[in-house]
Amino acid sequence: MTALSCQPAHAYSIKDGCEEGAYRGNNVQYVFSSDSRWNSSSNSGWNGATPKQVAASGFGVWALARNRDATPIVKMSATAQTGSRAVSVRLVGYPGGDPFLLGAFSCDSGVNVLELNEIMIESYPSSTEFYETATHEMGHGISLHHTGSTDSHVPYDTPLMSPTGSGIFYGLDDAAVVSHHYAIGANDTFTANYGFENGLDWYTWSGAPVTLTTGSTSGGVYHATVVPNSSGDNLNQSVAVMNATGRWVRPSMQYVTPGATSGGVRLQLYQRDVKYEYDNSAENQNLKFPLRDRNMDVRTSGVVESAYYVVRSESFPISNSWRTALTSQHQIPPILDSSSRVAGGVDLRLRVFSTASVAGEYIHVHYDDVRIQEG
Amino acid sequence: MRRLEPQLVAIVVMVVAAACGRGADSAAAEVGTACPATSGHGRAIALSMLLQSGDGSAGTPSWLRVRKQSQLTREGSPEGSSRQKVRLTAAESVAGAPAAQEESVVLFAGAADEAASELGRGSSVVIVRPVSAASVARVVASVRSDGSVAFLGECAFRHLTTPYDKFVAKRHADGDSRTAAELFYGLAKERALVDDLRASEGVPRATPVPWEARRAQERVIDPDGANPPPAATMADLRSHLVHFAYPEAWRSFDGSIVTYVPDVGWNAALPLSLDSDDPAVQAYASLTKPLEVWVVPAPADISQPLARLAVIDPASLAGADEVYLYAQVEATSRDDLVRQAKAGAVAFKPGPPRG
Repeated sequence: MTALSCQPAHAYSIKDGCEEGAYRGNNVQYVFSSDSRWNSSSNSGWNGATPKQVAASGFGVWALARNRDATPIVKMSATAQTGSRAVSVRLVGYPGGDPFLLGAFSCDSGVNVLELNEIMIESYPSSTEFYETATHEMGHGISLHHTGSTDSHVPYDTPLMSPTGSGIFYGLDDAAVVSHHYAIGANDTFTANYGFENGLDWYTWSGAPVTLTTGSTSGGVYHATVVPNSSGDNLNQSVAVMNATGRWVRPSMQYVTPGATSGGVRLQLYQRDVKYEYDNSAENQNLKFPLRDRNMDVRTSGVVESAYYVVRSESFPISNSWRTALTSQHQIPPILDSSSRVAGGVDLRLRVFSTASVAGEYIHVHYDDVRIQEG
Repeated sequence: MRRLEPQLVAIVVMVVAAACGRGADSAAAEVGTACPATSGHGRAIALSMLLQSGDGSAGTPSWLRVRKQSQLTREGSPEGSSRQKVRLTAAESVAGAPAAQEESVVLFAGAADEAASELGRGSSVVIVRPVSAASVARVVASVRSDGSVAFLGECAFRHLTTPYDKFVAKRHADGDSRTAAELFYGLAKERALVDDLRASEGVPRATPVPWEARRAQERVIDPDGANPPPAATMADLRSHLVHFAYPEAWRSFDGSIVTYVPDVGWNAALPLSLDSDDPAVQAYASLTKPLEVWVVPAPADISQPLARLAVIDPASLAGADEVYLYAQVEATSRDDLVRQAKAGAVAFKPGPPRG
């Protein structure tokens, strides 16, 4: 079972019984059990909120991530009916059980897998912990794995899908695992907020500021616009990828360089080799993409084995209309050390550059759908 | 940058006094007693991790000490969340980092409650500065007059105090006579102590050396990473796309080209085998120092630089944006390239943009 917050790490692998990406393209429906405690508004310190309200608000977090067409990547809705696409949520007090377990997601590999999924939440933690637990376990309910222990983009904050932390923040790592499992398109993506529908969150840039511009290549609301100061200015995002040996990845994006007469744009993928320590338990053995601890190299669980190096670097011509840039594939090499509690992994960093110019002056360039995609 | 937070957190989270035990009058040993005891394996790591969450510039935590109740005032709960902004007055820096006369810090509300209570009973409260002013300070401790230390906030007893007490006990068993408080302050100043704490938690790896303490030959210039150069260093650097042109035969060499700014550090590496018509790498060059070009074992082993291939005068980069470096020697192997470079050959020279 998966645990969160004030509890020991109970090992449970989502992969053991749950269908990965089971809800792709579907609304995720959940139904609360008939337990009357769901509707109680008398919990001390909860400011009148009922457990049902608290849990539902947590479940709704997963609908924050946006596809590049601005639609929610995951659609969450409560339902009164149990059914093949409903997750049942019930309150349990763990009588005779482990009193420290605040939450668990159980998954049965029976005839009707999805109908038998259940989230169990210990009844009386604080509302914060209840919120964290409900959200975290629903993350498992929609097939998400654990992230690293701290958020990649905001170091020292704890993602919702951290295996041991008490996270209430929906961060890069959470968004990235949602993107990876659910994003629209033929290819999974490692990149969070690749359509900029969550603003400029989770991107870093150097030089001139990137701005958010209305309009998109695919029915979305936004894209990113920048005028570089120098050729080295770039928009970038980094992700950690663990146990993905043999996977093929490549950067891609949409871009337009209106009015440019020379120069071009460049997509680059950098990699550094990292060994990620992991708990040698069932919980994490199947962990595939605990998306990055940006600070892994100052943390306990990752050991950086090399500096970053270029693995893909391709340039693309100026264009007055939106155009696709897609590099050749890069295979993540085997970096395994099966003899120890170390998992092979890499940090991947996507960089986007522009030298599009008019009369020697760099001009606005527009980017959308900037991603590291699989395959 | 803005970050998403749960939309309805405001109605949800606001908690502060509940399950994991707090209470204005609980004694240190009682803080968190309602938070169930556990082996705490996963969270035990948190203490040493959090103790590195200071300003990050030197890898040493920047801690503020508050001695009087009047020095800690509340400024309200940002966005109605479980966070509580407090203003410290006449704050004192523990780690020697600059302390403002007045400074606002965001705490979890539970920690703020307990901090006020602890100050009321004459304890000092030490707050580790978060990495940014907008982040929540996760480590808030009460240092008692008897030399004991209790961490404050929800579940802090289990997650922080308990592993810390074990660490202190081990130090005492090893003959260290310092009190828990003395060791606590020592953690702000002694890297070895943090390593010891990590070791006591079963964390196998040593902490990395902070930027300033590293030799330039060990540094990577990565302002987007976890250990960025100081702003003053970055002010002398400019980001370029550096293009390399070299014979096709070099693609079979087991090596990478890396640029290096003396006394600063290394840029990202470019494997000679890179499959690209126009091999290029983002690199920082100094406005005042030369840019060195080295060959290292592939893909990016900067710990074993094999030979310096070129030294590019910063004047030749002045006014340049994209940098083009062209091979000047023929080489039959990486070792041959290294040999020629060590014999004084200049392997790369800057040139005009490729047509």
